[in-house]
Amino acid sequence: MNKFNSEKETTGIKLRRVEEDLEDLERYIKEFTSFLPLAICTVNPPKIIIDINQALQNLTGYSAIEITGEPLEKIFSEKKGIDGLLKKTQKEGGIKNEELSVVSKSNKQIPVAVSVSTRKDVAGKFIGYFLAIADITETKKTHEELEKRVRTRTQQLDNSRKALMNILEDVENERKKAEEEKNKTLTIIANFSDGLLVLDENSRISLANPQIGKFFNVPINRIVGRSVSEITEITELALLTNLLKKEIRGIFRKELEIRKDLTLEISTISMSNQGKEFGVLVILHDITREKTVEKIKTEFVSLSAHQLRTPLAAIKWTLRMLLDGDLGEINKEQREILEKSYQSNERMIALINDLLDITRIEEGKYIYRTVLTDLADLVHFVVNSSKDEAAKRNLKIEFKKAGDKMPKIAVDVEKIRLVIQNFIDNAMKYTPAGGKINIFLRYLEESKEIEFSVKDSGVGIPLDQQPRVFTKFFRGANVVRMDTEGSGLGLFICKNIIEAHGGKVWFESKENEGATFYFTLSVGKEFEEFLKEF
Amino acid sequence: MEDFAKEEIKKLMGTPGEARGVVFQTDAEYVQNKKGKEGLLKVKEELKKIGCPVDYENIKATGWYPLGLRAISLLAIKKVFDWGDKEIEDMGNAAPKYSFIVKMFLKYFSTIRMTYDESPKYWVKHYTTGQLETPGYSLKDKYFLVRLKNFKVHPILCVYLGGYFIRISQYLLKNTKNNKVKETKCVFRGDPYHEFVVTWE
Repeated sequence: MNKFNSEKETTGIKLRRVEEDLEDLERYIKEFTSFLPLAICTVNPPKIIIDINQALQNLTGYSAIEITGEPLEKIFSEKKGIDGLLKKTQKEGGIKNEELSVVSKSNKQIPVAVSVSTRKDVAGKFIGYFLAIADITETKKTHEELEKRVRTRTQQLDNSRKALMNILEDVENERKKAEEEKNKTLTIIANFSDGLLVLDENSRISLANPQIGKFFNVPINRIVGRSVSEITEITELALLTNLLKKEIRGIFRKELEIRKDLTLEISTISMSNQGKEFGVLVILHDITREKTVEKIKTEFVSLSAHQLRTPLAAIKWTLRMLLDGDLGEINKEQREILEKSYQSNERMIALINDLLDITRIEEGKYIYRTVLTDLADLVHFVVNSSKDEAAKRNLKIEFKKAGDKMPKIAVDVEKIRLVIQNFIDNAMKYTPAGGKINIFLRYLEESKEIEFSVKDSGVGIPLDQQPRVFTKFFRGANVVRMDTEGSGLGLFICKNIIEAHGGKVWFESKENEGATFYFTLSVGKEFEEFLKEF
Repeated sequence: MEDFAKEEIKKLMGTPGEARGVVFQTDAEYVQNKKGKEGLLKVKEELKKIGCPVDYENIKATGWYPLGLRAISLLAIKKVFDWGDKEIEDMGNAAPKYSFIVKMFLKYFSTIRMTYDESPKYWVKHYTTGQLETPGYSLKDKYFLVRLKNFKVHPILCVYLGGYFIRISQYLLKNTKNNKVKETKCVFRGDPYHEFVVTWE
C-alpha cells in the first residue's frame, strides 16, 4: 500500500514537472511570437486562421480575436489566388516569397512576400499551414523607384536612341543628297567638254574625266591614282606632264599645242580649305577652233594689210612727186589739198603697220632682236625728235634721268623705241596746249630694273574705262571727242612688246588730271641672258 | 443583476471535478478585450466579494482548478456586466481563439471527421469529468450532434459550451453562415445528458 502511495506521489511530482514545463513552453512561445518581427499565421486545413502573432496584428491592424476564425482570404487582396497558393504548398511541401498583397483593417494594400509550409502531426497527417508574411513595402518601393529610374533611364536612352536614329537618318539623307550631288557632279564632270584633272597634295591624280582620255588618246584608268611623275612615261601625255611638273601651283594659264589639230588652254587652280592647300584643279580647254579662227583672221588682216600697203606706198610716192613739183608746178591751193591727202595716206600706212605688228604679235612672229643698249640714249633720241611737235602743240616737254650710272639693257631697240614714242605721242596728243610732259628714267637698284615713265597734264582716263586701256582698239571716250584720229592699237602693241621683254607696263590716271604711263625692264636677267649669248 | 446565493456557491464549489486553468485565462482575456483591465478588475473584486477569489493573471493554463469555480467565474462576469445568454454564448464562441490548449490541439480541428473522432480526447484535455460524444453529423443536411454525458455543473455552462461548439463548426466549415446551436437535451431539464445540435447554412 505504501509502495503504491509512493509511486502515486512520484507520478504526481512528474506530472507537476510536466505541467511546469508546459507553462514554460507556453511562456516561451508567447514571448517568441511576440518578439518575432516576421508576421506569422497558422491556418487549418479549411483555410481558416487559427492563430496569428503580434507582428501580423501590427501589419494588418486586426487584433488576434478579430481575425482568428476568419478565412485566410480575408487578409489578402488575391482572394482567388490563395487557394492556388495553398494547393501549390501542399504539392511542393512549401513555397517561398510569393508576392501578394495584404488588405489591412483600414483597407490599405500592403505588398508582402509570403512563405507557406504545411503542418503535419506526429503521424504525418496534414493538419494545416504556417504562413510567414514579410512586409516588402520598402523593398517594393525601392524596387519600384529603381524600376522607375530604370524606366526613366530607358526612356532617356530610348529618346537618345531615337534622336541618334534621327541624326543617323538625317546623316543618311544628307549622305544620299551628297551622293546624288556627287553623282551629278561626276556626271557633269564626265560630260564636261573641258578636260579636268584633280591632283591631290602629293601631285597624285585623284580624278580625270573622260575628256582627258579623248584629248590624249589614253585610257583614264592608266593615269588615275598615279602621280604626275609616274605618268611621264606615257608619251601621249609628255607635253602636259612637263608643264604640270613645273607649274602646278597657284593660278596659272598657258596654251599648249598638243598636236596640229589640238590646242589646249591649260589652267590650274589651287584648291584650298581654310588656308590649307589640298590639291590642284587642272582645266584643259580645247581652243583649237578659236586658234584656227584667230589664225585665219590674223592671216586675213596680214594679207589685207600687205595688199593695202603696196597701193598706199604708190599713192605716197605719187603725192610726194606732185608735192615736190616733179610733175610740174602746183599752186598753193593744190598744195594744201595734196598735203592733206599725203598726211591721210601717212596715217593709213601707220595704221596698216600697226595692224601688221599686231598680226605678227598674234602669230608669234614679232621676233625680238635684242641688243645691249643704253636706254637713256634711246629716250633722248625719241624726246629730241618729238620736241618740234611739242613746240607746235605749245607743250613743254622735259626729260629727267635719275643718277649718272644707268646699266645697259638688252632690248629690241626698234620695238622699245616704238613704245617710248607711243607713250610720248599719246601724252602730246591728249594734253591741251600749254600743258607739261615730264619724262623720267631711273634705275631701281633693289629690283635691278629700269623704270621709264611719261607724265602728262592732259585729259586723263575715266576710271570706268581704265581696265580696257591696254586692249585692242581701245580709245577713251573723252579722247575720241577731242581727236578723231588714232587706231587704239598703240598701247596694245606696247604692252605686248614690254611683256615680251619680261617687263611690266601700267599707268596711273585721274580724269582731267593727266596720266602717267610706266614700264619697267629687268636689267639683271636680261643682261645675264644677253651675256650668255656671247 | 442577480446576486449569488451562498448556498449555490457552496454547492458549486462542492461539484466534483476540475477544469484546466486555460478556461480561466480565456475568460480573463475575453473580458479584458471587451471591457479592458478595469472590467477584469471588477470581476476579480466580485469574485473576492463572494469568497471565491480568482487570480487570473497567475492561473496556469495547464493547471487544474475546481470545476465549480469555472462556473462561478462565468456567473461573476455575467453579473458584473449584466450580460444575458447571448453574451455568454459569444464568450464561449470566442474561447477557442484565446485558448493555448486549443492552439496546441488544433490538429483535432483539421476535418470534421477527425474532429468527431478526436473530440472525446479534446474534452479530457479541459475537464476531468464528463464525456463528450459525437453521435453523428451530415454535411449534406448541415448539422452535427454533440452529446455531453455525466456533466452537471450549472446551466450557464450549457450556454457557454453551445457557443464553443458553434466556433468548432466555424473552424471546420468554411464559407458557412448563420451557424447556430440548439441544446436539444439538457440534464437540467431532466434529460440523461446534454445534446447540442449545431446547424449552419
